[in-house]
Amino acid sequence: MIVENEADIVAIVETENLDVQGIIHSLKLQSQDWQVSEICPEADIKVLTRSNVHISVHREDKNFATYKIFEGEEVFLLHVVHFPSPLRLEECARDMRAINISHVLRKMEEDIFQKTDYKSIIVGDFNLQPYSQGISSVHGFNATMSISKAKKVFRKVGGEQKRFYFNPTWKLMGDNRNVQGTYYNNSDQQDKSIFWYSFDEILIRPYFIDRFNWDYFEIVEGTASYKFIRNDVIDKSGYSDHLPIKFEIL
Amino acid sequence: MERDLWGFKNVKDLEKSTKDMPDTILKEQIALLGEKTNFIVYGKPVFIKVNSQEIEYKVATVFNVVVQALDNYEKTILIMYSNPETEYPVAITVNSSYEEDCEMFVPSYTCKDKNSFETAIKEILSSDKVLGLIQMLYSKAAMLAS
Repeated sequence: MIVENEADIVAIVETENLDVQGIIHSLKLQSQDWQVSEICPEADIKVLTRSNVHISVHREDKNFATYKIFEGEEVFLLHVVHFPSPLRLEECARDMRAINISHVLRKMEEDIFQKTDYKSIIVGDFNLQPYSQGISSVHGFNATMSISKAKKVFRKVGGEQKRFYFNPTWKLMGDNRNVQGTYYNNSDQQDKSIFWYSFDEILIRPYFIDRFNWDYFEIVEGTASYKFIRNDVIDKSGYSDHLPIKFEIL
Repeated sequence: MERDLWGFKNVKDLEKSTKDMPDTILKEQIALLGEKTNFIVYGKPVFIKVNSQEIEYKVATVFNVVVQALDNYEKTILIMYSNPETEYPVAITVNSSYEEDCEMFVPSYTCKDKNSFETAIKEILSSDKVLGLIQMLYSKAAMLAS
């Protein structure tokens, strides 16, 4: 999948039973030189990159890991998140967790970017829908589906400037195809008939909106030789309970 | 100016009267880490305004360790919770994170005075876990430098 999609960076969560060195070795056999970035990890998050990607670990926490990506003089922040599962916490508690983490990540941005543009991307398993409080509220990530609103960079609430994220994941929800999210569940806690959930999301700061490649952006349903979907649902036993998303910043 | 009705004379006087405050003690320890390691590993405080009803303190001071050679990699050692209008009590969490504290606040230490605060900070900073972390980060940074 990594080779087929010509990926440069791969972020994976729930990696306890994943043989990362095995993946790197297997890529090497295909003449691909990859590395894993970690220093003192606290979570089951792994980020693999091509060896020519200039990346360094900035923070490793229990629910997220932050990486700096260097491109010439520029520094970008990549946050990879894995928030608590709905099996463990009710939605309001998951919202609160997201809101509190959004404060921590924003603090980091203030420190690194100071008065300049915030150049951050958040990817991962939020275990919250794009319209949840944690993701879309001004008190949380303030991630909107509206490009025109996001391009205004912030909105003022109670006299305070609240910076936007843009959430392209909305485009994948309810698309006219069988796979309409990255997670499938036919027994919603509140008996909602949603079935396909968009728990895996990408939030980008407005700086990246015009560089986002919409043509590349999609949920990956399989490789040339292996399908992740069986009988119209995700093949949990043969693959994983989540589908990957791919995106590109031009 | 003829009248000075303030309760302190100058900065020196002010510093003298604040030397036992938890912020000052923590700041000293943060500064010491850099001095002790030739700034290969140094300390940095991050202040967060607490917005959680779970926590009865208003400010969180996150004590992060920074490693410049690792592109300023940061790791949290402890979080001190305090109120701006009072010196004590303060609470300290270890092996936790701000977001976890916001959900369930179970401080490892609650210090009511200078002595208990110093004892707590000493216990944390001289623990095997913190020493192991500093050693590991120092060794990684030193390896890169060489």
